[in-house]
Amino acid sequence: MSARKPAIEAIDIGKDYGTFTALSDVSMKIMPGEFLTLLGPSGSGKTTFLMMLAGFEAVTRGFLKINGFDKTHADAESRGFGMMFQGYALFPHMTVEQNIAFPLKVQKRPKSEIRDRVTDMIDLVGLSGHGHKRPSGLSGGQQQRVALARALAYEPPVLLLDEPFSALDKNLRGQMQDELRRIHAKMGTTFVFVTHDQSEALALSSRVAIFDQGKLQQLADPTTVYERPSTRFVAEFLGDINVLPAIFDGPVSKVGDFSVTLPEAPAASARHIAVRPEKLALQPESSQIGLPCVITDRIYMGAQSRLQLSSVADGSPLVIDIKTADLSSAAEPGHQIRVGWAAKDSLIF
Amino acid sequence: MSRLLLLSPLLLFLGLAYLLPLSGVMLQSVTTPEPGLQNYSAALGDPLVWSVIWRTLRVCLCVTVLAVVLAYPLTLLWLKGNTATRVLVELAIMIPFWLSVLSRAFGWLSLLSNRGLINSWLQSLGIIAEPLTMVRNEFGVVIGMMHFLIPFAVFPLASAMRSVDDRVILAARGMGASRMRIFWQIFVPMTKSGIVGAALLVFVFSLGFYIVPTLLGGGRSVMIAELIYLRIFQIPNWGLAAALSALLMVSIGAFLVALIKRAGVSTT
Ligand SMILES: Nc1ncnc2c1ncn2[C@@H]1O[C@H](COP(=O)(O)OP(=O)(O)OP(=O)(O)O)[C@@H](O)[C@H]1O
Ligand SMILES: [Mg+2]
Repeated sequence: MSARKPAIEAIDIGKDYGTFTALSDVSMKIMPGEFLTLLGPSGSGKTTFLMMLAGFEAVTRGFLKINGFDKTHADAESRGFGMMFQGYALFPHMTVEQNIAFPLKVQKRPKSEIRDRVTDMIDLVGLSGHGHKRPSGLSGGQQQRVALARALAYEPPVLLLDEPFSALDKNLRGQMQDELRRIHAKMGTTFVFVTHDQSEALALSSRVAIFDQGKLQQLADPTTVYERPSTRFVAEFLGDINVLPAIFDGPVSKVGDFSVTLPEAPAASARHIAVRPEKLALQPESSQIGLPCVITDRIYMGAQSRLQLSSVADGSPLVIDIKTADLSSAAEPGHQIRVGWAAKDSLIF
Repeated sequence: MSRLLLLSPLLLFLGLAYLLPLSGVMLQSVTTPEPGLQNYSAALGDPLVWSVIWRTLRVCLCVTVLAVVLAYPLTLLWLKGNTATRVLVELAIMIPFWLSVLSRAFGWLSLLSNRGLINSWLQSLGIIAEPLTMVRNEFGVVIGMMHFLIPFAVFPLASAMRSVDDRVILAARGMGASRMRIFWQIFVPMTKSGIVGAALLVFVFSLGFYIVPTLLGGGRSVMIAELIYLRIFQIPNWGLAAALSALLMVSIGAFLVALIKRAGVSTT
């Protein structure tokens, strides 16, 4: 993969709106055929970044290369990226069919091909029978699917999708995700996908880029961002995590009087150990090792159960997820227990 | 109840200033000189009246098409041009509002008449030998009316253009559509309500024009409003004039109702 040229390369890209810095120093390489997800809280600059990739927003600082050529200030037409906008941007005066056919007509495809392709796309997004409606006659989720169909229809080499499933219910969202994954595998299109939904990001993408306050926090494959988040923000943004104040002495870290020997000594700035709820384990009742905690609540979640704990030493809250089947009857609110974790599951911030 | 109370001065004013004289006119059209519908049958049976009606429709249609077609790029410049262009266009739209229709008609007269600016200029350059007839005919009337009405077409167009979502245009650009295609297939259709609204406003307005056709038509291109005036003051026939007024009013009303019913029109 490293031998190939990146489809898109951003070099220290930044964007100002007046005096407000919406994005700063974002660098990344997006490989051809990659499925890259931009993930981050609202206002973190995901749409801004996507609009700059597409050529719809001017770049304030930095460079943008497409297939190795400098396209920092090239117009959108010359990039030829497909884009699905957050607000859908459907043509209000055209029917669903005409909307989907528009990019195909621009490409001057033969009439019969356009007709077939439009029908296929309408079926794909589950809107058969709605082809003659105008966007104003469709629900939000239906409009969103039309926008998706329109973006997919003309098979651009790079597709930029801004929260394409945000208005869909869970079932439909799952179906659309499967479709998108299938299309990605089949066509080899490069996808840059924006979402708020972390499980969607982890499930779909080959890599995830996490943004916060206009900065790229981490760019890695889903396992790495979840298991080895590079910052506390990333760790807390993706799923739940217990962050415990710790004292470090070389590789030895102490939380209360429970000590864990890390594979290597952390940086001098380290103050906390963080552990995912599912990586914590209840120690046997007789055990003398582990962090003493009191159970404050027990939440049944089906196959899994979640215990809410409070550390005996300083009262800091913890959560632990375990298989419901493994829970003993002693794990009731009010009881004292000990929890432990493996050194390799410790994240240091 | 209190709402009605608040509105009552306005209602009173409208009643006294419009409704009362209007019903007077309506009444006259069926009572002068004697009760009956003879004024209407005389009006509709008169070939002169019909030729005036046809001319009025023809001129107003021309004016409407020209005014809207010319106002469209003007509005685009006003909304999308750079700052200098916008100020300039805004002045060009606003200044005519401050000038009386009379002085504007005279202005056109001095430009277009046989010994006016344009003709003497063209003659002195040797481009033409004989002066072109640009007034005392429908050409002059159309020019004068169009000039007056363009600013009125600008506002409905501007409001429609402002409501076009920029992202829709971006989306079309991103798909590689040419500027021409985006303009004709996306932008113009998306401003259709403004086009219809502007056309409607201009057309209805133009039907009742009096001063411009009188001055620039020079008594040759008589339109319906001038005909009514002539029936009142030259050959006093108040009953016929009243019948013509009523016909004009009713047909404009019917036209408006039909159009508004057909399309959800925006004129603001
Ligand atoms: N045209 C603009 N003018 C001024 N500020 C803007 C403009 N567009 C975006 N911003 C600001 O830039 C920041 C990033 O916005 P952006 O739309 O990229 O966020 P986002 O990550 O896409 O958020 P969301 O998930 O809510 O869509 C925000 O603080 C926003 O207010
Ligand atoms: Mg956004």
